Amino acid sequence: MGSRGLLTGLLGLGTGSGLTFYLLTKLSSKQTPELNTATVVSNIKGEHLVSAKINPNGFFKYGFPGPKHDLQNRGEFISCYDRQTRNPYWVLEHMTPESLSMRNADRKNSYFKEDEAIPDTFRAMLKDYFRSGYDRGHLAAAADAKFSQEAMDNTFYLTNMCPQVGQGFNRDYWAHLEFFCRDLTKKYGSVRVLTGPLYLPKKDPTDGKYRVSYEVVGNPPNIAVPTHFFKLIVTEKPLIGSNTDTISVAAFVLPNEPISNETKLTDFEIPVDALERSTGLELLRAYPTNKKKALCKEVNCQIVVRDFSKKAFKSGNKQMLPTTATKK
Amino acid sequence: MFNLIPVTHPTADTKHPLLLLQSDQGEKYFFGKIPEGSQRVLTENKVKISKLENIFITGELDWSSVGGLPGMILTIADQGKSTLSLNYGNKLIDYVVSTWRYFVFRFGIDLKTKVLTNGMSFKDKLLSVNSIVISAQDDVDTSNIFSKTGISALNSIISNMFPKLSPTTRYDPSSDPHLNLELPRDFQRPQLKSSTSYEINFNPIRGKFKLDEAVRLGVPKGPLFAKLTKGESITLENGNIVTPEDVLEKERQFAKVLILDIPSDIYLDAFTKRFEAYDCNNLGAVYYFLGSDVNINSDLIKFMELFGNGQVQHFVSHPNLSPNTLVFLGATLTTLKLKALQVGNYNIPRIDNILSKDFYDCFRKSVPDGVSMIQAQEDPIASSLKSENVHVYSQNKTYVVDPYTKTNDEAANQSLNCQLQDDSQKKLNFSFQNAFNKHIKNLNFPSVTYENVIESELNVNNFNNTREKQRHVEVITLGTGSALPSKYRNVLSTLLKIPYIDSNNKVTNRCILFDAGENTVGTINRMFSQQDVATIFKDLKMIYLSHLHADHHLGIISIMNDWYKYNKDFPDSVLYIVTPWQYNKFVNEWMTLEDPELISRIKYISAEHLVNDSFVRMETKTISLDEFTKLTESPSKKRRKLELDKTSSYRNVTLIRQMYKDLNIANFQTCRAKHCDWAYSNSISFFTDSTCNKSFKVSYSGDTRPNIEKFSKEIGYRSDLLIHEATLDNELVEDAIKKKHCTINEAINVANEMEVEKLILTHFSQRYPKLPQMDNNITVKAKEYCFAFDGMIVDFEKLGEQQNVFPLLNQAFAEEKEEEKKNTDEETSI
Repeated sequence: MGSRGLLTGLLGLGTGSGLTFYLLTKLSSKQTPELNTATVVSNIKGEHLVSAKINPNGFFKYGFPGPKHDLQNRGEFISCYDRQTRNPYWVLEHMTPESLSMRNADRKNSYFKEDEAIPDTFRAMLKDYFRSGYDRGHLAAAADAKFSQEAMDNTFYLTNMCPQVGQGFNRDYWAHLEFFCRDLTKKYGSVRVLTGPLYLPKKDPTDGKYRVSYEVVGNPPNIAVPTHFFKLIVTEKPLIGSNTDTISVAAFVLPNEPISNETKLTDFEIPVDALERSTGLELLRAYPTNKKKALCKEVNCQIVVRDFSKKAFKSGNKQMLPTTATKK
Repeated sequence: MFNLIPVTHPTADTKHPLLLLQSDQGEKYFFGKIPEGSQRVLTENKVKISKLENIFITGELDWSSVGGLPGMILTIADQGKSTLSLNYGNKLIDYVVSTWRYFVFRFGIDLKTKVLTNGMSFKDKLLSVNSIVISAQDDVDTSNIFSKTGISALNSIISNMFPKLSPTTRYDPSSDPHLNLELPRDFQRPQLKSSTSYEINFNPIRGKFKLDEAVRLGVPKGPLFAKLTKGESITLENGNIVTPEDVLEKERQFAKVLILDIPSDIYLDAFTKRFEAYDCNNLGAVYYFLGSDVNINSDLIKFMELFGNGQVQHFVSHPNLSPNTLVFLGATLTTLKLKALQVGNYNIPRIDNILSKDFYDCFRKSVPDGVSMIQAQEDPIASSLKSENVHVYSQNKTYVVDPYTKTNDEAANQSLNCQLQDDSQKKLNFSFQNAFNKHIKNLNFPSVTYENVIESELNVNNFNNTREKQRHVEVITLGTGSALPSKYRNVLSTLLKIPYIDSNNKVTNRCILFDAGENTVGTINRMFSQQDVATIFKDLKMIYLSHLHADHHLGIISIMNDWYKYNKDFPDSVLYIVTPWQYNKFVNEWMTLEDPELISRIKYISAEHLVNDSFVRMETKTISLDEFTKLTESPSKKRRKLELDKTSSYRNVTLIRQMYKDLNIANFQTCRAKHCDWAYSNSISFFTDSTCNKSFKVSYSGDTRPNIEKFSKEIGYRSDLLIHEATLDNELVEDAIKKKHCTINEAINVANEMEVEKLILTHFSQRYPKLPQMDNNITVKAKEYCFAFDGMIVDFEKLGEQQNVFPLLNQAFAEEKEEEKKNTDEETSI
């Protein structure tokens, strides 16, 4: 019996079939599971465990299952990868007026690449994105890492990518939001941005229950398409005014769909604790509350659409210049 | 004293600026553009225009600039206004007005067009208006556009469109040889590129008569006083000469005002050249009406600097400058109330827009939190103009011109005695939160909270937004009123979305419009984000026009223009229009002026060609310009009967078949409506999937008396959905007969006889702006039905849900009813 027949049978089981799919197709790879001899201490009295002859820790001798968070320091950013969704959990960037004033890199020299550090069972592949209808959307933007070609190249790892709706989102509103973050370095000496995907529940109109539903691209299905994206922005060292240890914070959650440019950025702002609930991440908890300020009270949180295409349009020079470069 | 009061500024509701100039005696003049929605703005803000005699149109003539004019002319003619002049910089204004001849004609109004070519002046007792006409290219003659024959044809048409006396017999303009006349088209397109601007000079007023001084000088009371005040010197009996200067205080002047209209960037050089040496002495204010394509950059600011600093106030109008304030607040509140009852059936009106960063930064204007901006150049603009003298043009910013006495000292900083009264903050203070607290909270509807109705619904589009709805037929009743736009209901338009599921199980949309009254496009822009607007226009495949009454079609040209904007880059997309034949002539004439390329994308089918009758009426032949010349030269000027176009009775089967194929239509029929000449009801069956087994049949009445035989029993029989006019309440059946409309019961009866599955009633008389008669009607046999409201989004599968909230609707509109009563009382007391 070919694997195909077995496959169809398993797929018939319904939900979760996607995962089974991987086990079948990818186990043949030459990965050796990493041994981990960790022991997790239980809260049950030792003598009972002994007499019951149980020791769950014994499983670990076959290998510790994880989850493993593939952390990578890429210079401009650090990424943390989620092997289940084949998206980053988050990507953490740092920008300064200095880093953005250095122009040593050109996008044209960079190309998208798979992250070989991730076992291929769990890796996001270039072919998964091919004809998926989605952009390979940078979480740490290439334009944030112009200070060195290597740093920019690093933003092209697929561990820094999520499937993003291209027109109206990645190439438009989302790009304007990235520009907003960069532009903050005109007012702050340090800008840190935590960016990541979200898979948010939606109310089902037929029965009123909340469900999470998202597409998975690739054949076999491999990479989850996030329903939303978040950005948590933390700024330090205001360039004007007293240089205190107070930080300014703003969190935004945007749907992964076309957003009209006229939509107010502040319409997407949410409190940090709401973002914690949605992401399951602990955010800025080590910093005293009284030293956190609302960024959108300090600056106008708005997008700026930069369209210099019509600049030279005068009667003497009727040739239109090309429109602003779009990113793919 | 003169007030310059902005009536409209660029918003989603009104595209362009219209400025009202008013004297303290109440004389009124309009300057600028008359965008669609203008007359509704006048109603909303209770602006009376009985003392309006002159409209000075600025800029280029295209539909977005003057689309509100035909409707306004009809309305003010009906209000009994007797004279109105349209002033413009060249003869194109006559062409524009002439294109309306098939549907704009009124008796008793003396409507004139006046061509004020460059340098000419309009003068009356209060002011003179100098015309400034600027061509985009200086080597093109934009003043002599038409030949002599052309001009005489246009003159003849206009004089016949607005005759003094009404005719004795039934009147059909398409069979009037004076109207059904070919328009001259011998112009070159560059000749259309000229913009009209104006300089307003107020007549000085003479100084006060110093009575004591006159007496002291020995002038006897009587006629000599009058002579002196008229500026004549007199000689007294004793030989002394008394001059006016002796007994009159100094003459008082007014500052002059410039209204400049720059339609696009290609004009900027020509404007700069024209005003380089302009005398800014005595200049009080400059209004800049900028087209949406004008780039706000340093070139533009440099041009503004030509008008110097000093006291000159600069009012700049541009879609990226003016706030997108809600112009029709009454209608907005109605929508919010209805949304409170049916959250998923209405969108929160969108008030976002994109502001020019370059301008707001340059003149240090405050930007509301979160508002998106557009930046046109990398470097910030620096300007020598004082920020406090530069204003964003918007409603509620009135510029007041008071007289001043000129001092002899040229060097002195002479005060021009003008002031700005700025109440615009009041409009900007509108918030949905306040509106909710003030008008909805106290209604105590079950489970209605600000969070549910407003907050969680901001930026939410309830049309075609779920996977479920994507497979359902949806209807948006964009406008639901009859006759003319009112505070609560705009004129008629209904949008239908009928999905089609192809063999790959992919859904494609067909949107069609049944009629589109004035400013349908404004309603769409207010309801949807620009992304969603683009989707709707990409899906729009057909516009159907039921008859030629203006309240049903003055919005169509804008819809076509916007359709083209979003479909231009898709060479295969075409737009079907099914209309009475006269309307197609109008479209061709209009697009010849505005955008001839668009004509090739429009597939026109005469509604007569789809009629379920073996007899197809023939169109009357249009008289050519040559024939017209002969006719006018021939000695007998008797009216001849127009010839019929014999070929017009052959149905255009090829194109009809093509339409069936392109739109997956199974059947499309019309029947003659019982309303006016060339009026129709229709019925269309759409295939809903590739198997061609399933179809959806929709029927639309247009305006008509009940038509059981042809409509209920024949073409519309057993429709899935009937959209029927229900103009009048049941007790007004006599009015219904007289005006050839239906009462609500009559409409229900048509539906019952048709055995329809579901029914939407619409086209309600503006006498009952809020609620039509909902109780005590005859039994509706359809499974579900609802009453249409402006901006209502209905999922066909859930069409009847409105019935659950019928009892609450009266409660919701108690406040408006109270106001309505008050207004009627006021009217009767006058």
